[in-house]
Amino acid sequence: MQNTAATKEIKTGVRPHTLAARIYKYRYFYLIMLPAIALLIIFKYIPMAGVSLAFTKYTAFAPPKFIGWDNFKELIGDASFLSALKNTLILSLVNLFLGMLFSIGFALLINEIHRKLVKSVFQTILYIPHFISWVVTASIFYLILSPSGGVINQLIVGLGGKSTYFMISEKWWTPIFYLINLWKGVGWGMIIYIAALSGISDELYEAASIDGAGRMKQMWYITLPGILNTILVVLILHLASVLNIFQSVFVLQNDLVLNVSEVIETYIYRVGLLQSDYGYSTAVGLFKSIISMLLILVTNNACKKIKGEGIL
Amino acid sequence: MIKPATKALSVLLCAALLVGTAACSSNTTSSAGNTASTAPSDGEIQSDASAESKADSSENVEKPKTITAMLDAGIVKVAQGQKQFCEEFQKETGIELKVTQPNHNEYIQKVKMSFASGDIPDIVEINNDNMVQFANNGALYDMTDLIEHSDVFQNILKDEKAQNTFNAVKVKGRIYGCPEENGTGVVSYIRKDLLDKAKLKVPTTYDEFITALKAFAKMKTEDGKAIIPYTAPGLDPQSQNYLPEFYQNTTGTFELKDGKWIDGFTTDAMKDTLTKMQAAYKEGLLDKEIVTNKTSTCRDKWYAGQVGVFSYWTGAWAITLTDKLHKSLPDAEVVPMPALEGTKYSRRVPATVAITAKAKNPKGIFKYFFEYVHGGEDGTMLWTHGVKDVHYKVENGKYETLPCLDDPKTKFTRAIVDIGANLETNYKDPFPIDPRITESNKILAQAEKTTPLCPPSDSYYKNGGTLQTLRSQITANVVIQGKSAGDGISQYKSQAGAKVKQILKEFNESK
Repeated sequence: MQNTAATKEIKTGVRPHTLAARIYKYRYFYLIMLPAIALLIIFKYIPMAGVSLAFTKYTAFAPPKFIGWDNFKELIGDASFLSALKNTLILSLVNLFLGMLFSIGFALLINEIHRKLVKSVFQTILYIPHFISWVVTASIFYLILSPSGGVINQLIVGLGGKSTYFMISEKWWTPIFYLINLWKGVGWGMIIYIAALSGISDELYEAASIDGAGRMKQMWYITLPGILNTILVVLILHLASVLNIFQSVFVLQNDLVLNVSEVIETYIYRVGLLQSDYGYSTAVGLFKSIISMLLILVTNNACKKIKGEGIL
Repeated sequence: MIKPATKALSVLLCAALLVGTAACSSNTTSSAGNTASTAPSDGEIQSDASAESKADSSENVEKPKTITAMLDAGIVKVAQGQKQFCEEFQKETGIELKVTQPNHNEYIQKVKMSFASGDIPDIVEINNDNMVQFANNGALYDMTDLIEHSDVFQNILKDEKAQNTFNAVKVKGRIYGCPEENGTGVVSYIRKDLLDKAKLKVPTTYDEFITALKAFAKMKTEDGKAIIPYTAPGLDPQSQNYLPEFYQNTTGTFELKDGKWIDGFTTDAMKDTLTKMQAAYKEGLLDKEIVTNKTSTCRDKWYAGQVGVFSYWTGAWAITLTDKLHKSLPDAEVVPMPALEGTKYSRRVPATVAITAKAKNPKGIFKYFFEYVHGGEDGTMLWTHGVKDVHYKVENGKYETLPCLDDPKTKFTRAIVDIGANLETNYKDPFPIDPRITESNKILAQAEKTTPLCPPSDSYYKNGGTLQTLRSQITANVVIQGKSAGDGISQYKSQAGAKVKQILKEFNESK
């Protein structure tokens, strides 16, 4: 009966009133969606059940045993975890801020280049480091900064200074980490801004020019507002994964700089895999996900207040 | 209106999903020798009694059809002919050997994950503290009775060296892992050509050694680079065997002294070690990059002719270190240096292969795998030198190793057991042993000590890694950044004292 009614409504072009009728009407579209939904459930939602391991004692030698909130109590009281959390937030957020600042800056500069060939050459030079693996990147910088024969130290010694073992110095490690991340990520990060810049109408610049606006004023009143949406989208998307720094830290880390370089992911690796405390490391991972979610919600709310709308 | 193409597309997509899901859920068949098997066989019982087997002398023990193994360096790599190795094993024993070989640097993590997930192999290569931990947690099969009733192993245990090796791997007096070989050790290799250039003899005392390092520090390579007098992969007290001249009377970690476990890092001997290393580093006698070096980095520097002294493994490594150095410096001369006066080299407790507690047929695995491999005949030959016409050839009764499958410019050295380190006294190795191997082993044997395995301790397993990191940090702070040795040790005591106390209590209470 219901099917007959739905068929009638479809034929008459009127939107079906009941959910079942609407599903029937769009049944083939639902069928097309089915594989994607199934894959999402199988590979994204079902594995979430693994989160329950955070509430267990689970090692290589015994099946998981429920222990309630014990793992969370332990991690809150663990100075190493708190230090890792602090380092993660500092390294990630500074890295994100610097990355965006330099990406936008380079995008604006590249955008000012009018000769296509020169523009392409500069873009390519800036992109290349992105395609070099982190292991190779670390090796390159270890060589450059080596205390015996590294270019930087040779220069310092040549100028009468003292050779420095940069990679084991807590004072130097953090700025070097930011520098390497900028070197590797700026070129790739600016692609999206260059695309956004190309979408700004030339007429706006012409009008501004007629009104007497110089380069800086055009950039401030036309270019930046023109790519503001893109900046916010990139910021929120990056915040979702901002705490997931592992490779870049791991390849540059050594025991002497653990105080400034231990981040949540390397802490999870150390505790979870090296000490095979799977329950505890899952608890740390879950805790990290909650912080990530909070960061996104806060930023999205801030966006709503600034622009009147968020992206979530 | 929905187009027919949309209908067809939706049906096709769903069909593809179903097929994909079905494919994912079915078991995959892995090829012999190189497994990613979804379920371990746990020593399935062989029904094919006609299979050729030189190891078959079955009494009441059933022969496994398949043995699943998780091995680290305990087998040739895939690129070096692991498949042929396993095929040869099957040809000789009638047993399919399914091997999983994770990357060396993540091996133990993979083993632990394998045990945690229940995907447990029949046999597993495991060593040192991990072996003790696994045994103490009931994850390994107690092989003691099998070894005591085995003619093959009783024959091996007639030899005093083998007895020491088996005693070294005991956990609470029981054997849970069979040693692969008599343990090898690290000795210091020194560039004799550089000594000759400085008109110095091979050092025999600490002072002579420092004099030699000082002489090396003034030299340059042919392309003008400064010679690194002494390189090592870290100052880490747990890797103390890479700097034996400095760790003279301590291991710098937990050690057994007069029947009691102590923390070597807090001793006066360690203070002396730290002070000596600090002075050596300050004078440029130690590699400036010592803290961030890896063993591979050190080897590369050595092969490039940049290094004066490098402490590394005896046995087949004695050949590799010389041959690869000769590629860049044909005239270089390398000698293993006898231990300095008052110094001992460490002979490591060898890696073991253990039967897991989940294996269904441990007696069968012991008889047809362990007794075959250690029988002193074809199995031992296979385990030592690999497969004929793949890893070695025989011409006119003369045995010769072939080029490596993955690096034809280098000759294959060994399959698993280090040359000259066989446990089996009845095994007559037909290969001529390179004098460099004999010499390095002799130098080790002249002044060796074996550091016993730490007893089981949950506190140690939980905090051992953190303590090791702390020791590394403090050692580097003292040696490189100039902190005083006394202050460094005091810092260690204040930061780690409670944990160390608990660990030592558990060690000393362990029977």
